[in-house]
Amino acid sequence: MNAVGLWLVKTQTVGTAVSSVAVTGAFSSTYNNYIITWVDGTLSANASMTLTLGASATGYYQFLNYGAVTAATPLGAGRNNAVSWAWVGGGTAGQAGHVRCELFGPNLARYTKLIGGPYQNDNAYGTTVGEHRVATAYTAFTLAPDSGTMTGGTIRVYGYKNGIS
Amino acid sequence: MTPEEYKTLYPQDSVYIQVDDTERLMTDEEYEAWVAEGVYNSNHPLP
Repeated sequence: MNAVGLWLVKTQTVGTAVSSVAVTGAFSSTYNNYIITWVDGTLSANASMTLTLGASATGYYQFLNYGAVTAATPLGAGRNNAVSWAWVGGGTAGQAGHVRCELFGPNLARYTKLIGGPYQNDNAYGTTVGEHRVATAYTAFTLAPDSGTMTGGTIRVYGYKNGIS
Repeated sequence: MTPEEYKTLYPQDSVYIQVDDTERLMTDEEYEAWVAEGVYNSNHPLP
């Protein structure tokens, strides 16, 4: 199926008022690179979304370019060897939350790249790129709002097919 | 927001940790750490 390059490899329904959702069995040697989405759910508070790999709580590097709707000034923020990646999604209190980011190589024993996370926290919007500087292969990840809880919706993991077949 | 306000908004018996299809309540230690992080983040949003 050469026409199909992106495969849905995992879905996870999100419960009610959860502080975090761990998704196991998401990454494997079948695919090197992935897209993760969370849609159709809500956030209880103005919040952005964080992402961690497996049980790793160190080595997350990241930069965010963002701005507020009330000003034209571009802003930035960094995370230097943090406990998680932040800013991979977000939303406004009581409204739809989202996650959408790409991970390059999470199941490979090398650093994982975080590509293209669209950030939101209420009236602030932006995009982020980062790296997890731990050379370990992971099969699981966890999503969490940085404040409040998430309810409902579906987490989906898509794998990029590595070859033509 | 104060930790007390946060705890009133999110009582310990109303917030769950989810692993795949399984949900559970937080331990006391997990809940205190979660409250501290949530309070800090809600008081220090970007921008």
